[in-house]
Amino acid sequence: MKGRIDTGGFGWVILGSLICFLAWRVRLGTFSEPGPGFIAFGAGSFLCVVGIIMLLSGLVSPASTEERVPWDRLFPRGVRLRLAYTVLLLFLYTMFLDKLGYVIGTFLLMWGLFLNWERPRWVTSMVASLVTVGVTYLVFEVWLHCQLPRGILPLG
Amino acid sequence: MSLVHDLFYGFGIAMQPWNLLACFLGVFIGTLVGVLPGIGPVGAMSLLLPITFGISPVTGIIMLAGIYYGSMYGGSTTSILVNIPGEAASVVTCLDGHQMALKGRAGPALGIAAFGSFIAGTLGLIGLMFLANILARVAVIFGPAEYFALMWLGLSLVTYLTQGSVLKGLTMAGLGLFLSLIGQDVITGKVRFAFGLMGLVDGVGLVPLVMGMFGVSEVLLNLENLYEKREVMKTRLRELLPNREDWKRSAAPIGRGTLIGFFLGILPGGGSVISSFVSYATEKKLSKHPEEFGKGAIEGVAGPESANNAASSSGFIPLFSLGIPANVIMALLLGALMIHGLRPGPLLITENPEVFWGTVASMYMGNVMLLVLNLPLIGLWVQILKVPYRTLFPLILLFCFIGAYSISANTFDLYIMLVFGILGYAFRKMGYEPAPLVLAFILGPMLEQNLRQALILSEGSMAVFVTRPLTAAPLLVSLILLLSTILPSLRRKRKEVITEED
Amino acid sequence: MCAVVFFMVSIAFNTGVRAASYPERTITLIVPYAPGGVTDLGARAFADALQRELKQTVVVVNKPGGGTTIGGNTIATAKPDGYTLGFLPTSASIPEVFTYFNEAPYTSKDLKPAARVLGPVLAITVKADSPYNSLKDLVEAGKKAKTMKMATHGKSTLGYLVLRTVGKAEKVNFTDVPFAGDSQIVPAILGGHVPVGTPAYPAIKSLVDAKQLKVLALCLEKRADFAPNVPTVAELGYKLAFVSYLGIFAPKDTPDDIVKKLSDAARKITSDADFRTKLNNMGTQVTYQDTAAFRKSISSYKENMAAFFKEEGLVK
Repeated sequence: MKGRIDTGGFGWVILGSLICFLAWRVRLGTFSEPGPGFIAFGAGSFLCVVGIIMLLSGLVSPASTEERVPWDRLFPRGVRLRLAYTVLLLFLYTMFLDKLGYVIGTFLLMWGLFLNWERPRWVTSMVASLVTVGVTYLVFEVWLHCQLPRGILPLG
Repeated sequence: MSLVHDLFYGFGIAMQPWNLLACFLGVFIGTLVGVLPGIGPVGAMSLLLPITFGISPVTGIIMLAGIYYGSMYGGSTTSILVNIPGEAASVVTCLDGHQMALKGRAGPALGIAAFGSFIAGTLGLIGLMFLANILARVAVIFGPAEYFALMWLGLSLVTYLTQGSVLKGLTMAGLGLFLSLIGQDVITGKVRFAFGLMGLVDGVGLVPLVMGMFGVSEVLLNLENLYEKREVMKTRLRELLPNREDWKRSAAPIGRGTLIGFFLGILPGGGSVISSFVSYATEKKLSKHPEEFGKGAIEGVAGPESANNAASSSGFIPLFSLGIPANVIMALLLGALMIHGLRPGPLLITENPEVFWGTVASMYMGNVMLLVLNLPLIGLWVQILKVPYRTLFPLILLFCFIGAYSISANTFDLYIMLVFGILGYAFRKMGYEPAPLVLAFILGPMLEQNLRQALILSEGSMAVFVTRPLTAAPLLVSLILLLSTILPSLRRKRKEVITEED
Repeated sequence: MCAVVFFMVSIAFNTGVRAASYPERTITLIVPYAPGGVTDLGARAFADALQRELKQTVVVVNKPGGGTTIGGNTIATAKPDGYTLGFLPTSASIPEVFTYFNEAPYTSKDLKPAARVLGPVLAITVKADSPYNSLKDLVEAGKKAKTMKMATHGKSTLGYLVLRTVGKAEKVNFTDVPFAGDSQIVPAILGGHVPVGTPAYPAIKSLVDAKQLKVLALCLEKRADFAPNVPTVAELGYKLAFVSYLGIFAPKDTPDDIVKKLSDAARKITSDADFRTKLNNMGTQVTYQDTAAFRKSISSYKENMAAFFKEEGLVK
């Protein structure tokens, strides 16, 4: 592990430089009239400095603060699938929420999320998601008037 | 003794059946919206506002104020149970509150939050009564330079929010600072760093960011052991209230938290937000066992929760005595009073004593009602943790969605929440903690505006930051804090790696 | 269930909008601000009155963000059937003159103004112990000093326009110190951190009554109902390029008779004494204009503002 380059530190230096560049593009201004990029430039430079310190400390000290965890241990295969599935469902829900409306969209999302992969019980999870939609609709839309999206059903 | 007389007069008003009912309704609705993450008191209050057009102003204000401090009681519940802070003030509560819950001590965490809130809220009210007129003048002593110094001090507390590597905490703070600058710049009015996205013109929303970084990423992390039995939850669930040891450890933090919250809460420019962070850092610094912080130290719940509630009491000072609202909620209360032709300000207490004293007295009663209402609920909340996680997690996600959506009725905020959920997941996997990012994100805009205003006013001279005691002192303290944490951490790096990172 | 079916049927039969029977179902009033605040309160008071006037439910929906253009865009892209209306300020109704600050995906051509309803009132304010007792004193002092600093809401707002207009006419170098809102401007003036500022009138009324602040002038063309003794900037001899307003807007293809109905309703509401008191209590000025007059003022403001921003170098 000795003398290993700290990729984390490297990433922060790049991100910091990028922020500095963006800040420079929107104008830094002067001390008597600081521009919109004034503080952002500071934040970017700060990230660069911390990144460099990370890099250096990774080079100098034998045990880097960055623990090297192999990719497979970080994301075991089963976990990766379940993770991808959940995130995908969440993105699909967000994409179609306005079109489908709260009631239908949420029903589908909840059905998908409640589904137990090891022992799929389609009906149980469907009923559970129906109940969830009904109760949350009552609390948030009817009582609290949360302005949930109406979608294709004339509810909401 | 006129104060006693005034207070009795206030109780006379607050005890009228209608006002009593309004107070109860207010704290009840407040508890409900406080518990639901994201659905803040603002939505509920603006919804009920038209109803208050038709009733007497005192009754209306009693109810609206009840919603406000009621929601402060409930705000910590989801932070402790499922690691979703419903508002900025309960971000800190997540750090140790949720850890306590994971160790089967959700009951004591919720209990100390409720008792701390009650004690701090009541003490805050006493302060509000005695000191309203004196402290109103203090609130305006703070100009841009002083605010900048205070915000800078707040930002330097970042190192107290991290458990692992200080360097990683600092990078998160830098990133949070940048994220907070996205959107319209108050000084020039120009939109920056929005990448052509309309949803970013007013900046990244705090609620979607916080719910993503804490709530969603927590769920994603827990997906890994979805079908494992969570044994920790089963143990010691019967322990519902704080025990004597808990009280012994929490008494001083509650006291200090109350003082910190009360004095910072007076400042209209976001003092109440940083009070919970300042309280947390103070407790960690003073504690004999700082290594327990972030792993379920009860002081880390008791202090910030008290600070948060004391600040919500003292926040009424600038409203009632100067007509300056400290936050959106106060602005709503101001609007409600104005619609009735009442103008909060230096003359309110003399011209409309029924409003001031009636409200203050009702707040005493409201705090008692809240305690009575919240303590039995603890048993119910703790039961939630018995629900298997595979049933619980879809509901947590749904509450995050509804909470983020209800703020601006815009799906863009849901994307923001998801993106930060994934980012937060990745960061936490790599040992970066979200709390420093959130602190910097909250303080960023105030830090920037006040610095730039101070520089415009001083025409570019830095002298204002060192010549005035109220600016020099916080800046000096923050310098000492930063040096005292960074220098040893660089030197002791090897030791820390072994002791702190498992 | 019966109601739902009835509801769907009634929508199905009404695809072609019939103005004679308008409105037949719930009207949504979009407010481009977050809940709370004077604008939202004004909109809610207006919606409350409109509901009684049209005998139909009017729901306020807050669509904040995009510097009010997210709410504006909701109207610009809504179905032009009169059931989605906007309660929009200057920045949302003529986004094309604000392109230096923010690019919006629509222009004022995508909106149809129905009626002007009210306007927020800004006050040129100093501390009570300040040596300036009139706008003239301030100008005289400003002529002697190198610069005169003034707390405003930002460069795209009326406060900035007023101080630059006065400054140009009198050769005073006003420097603006922008703040995020009244709750920050007022303490800055009270604490003596800035000598003068332009907060909204309701934010300072009580402090003026308590003799802690003084108002030098209001940023208006005509004197306000609620402060008949305070001079306006216009009567002191400075011509204002525009005055902030809030009005009812519909999508551009909305039938004219629906717009007329709305304009008539707004006229009735704004002449109602109860509504006026409510709004005046909040320190906003009721400034009703019907569709034609409103359209005319918008186009003249648009020209003036474009010219003003060009002079200031605030153009893309």
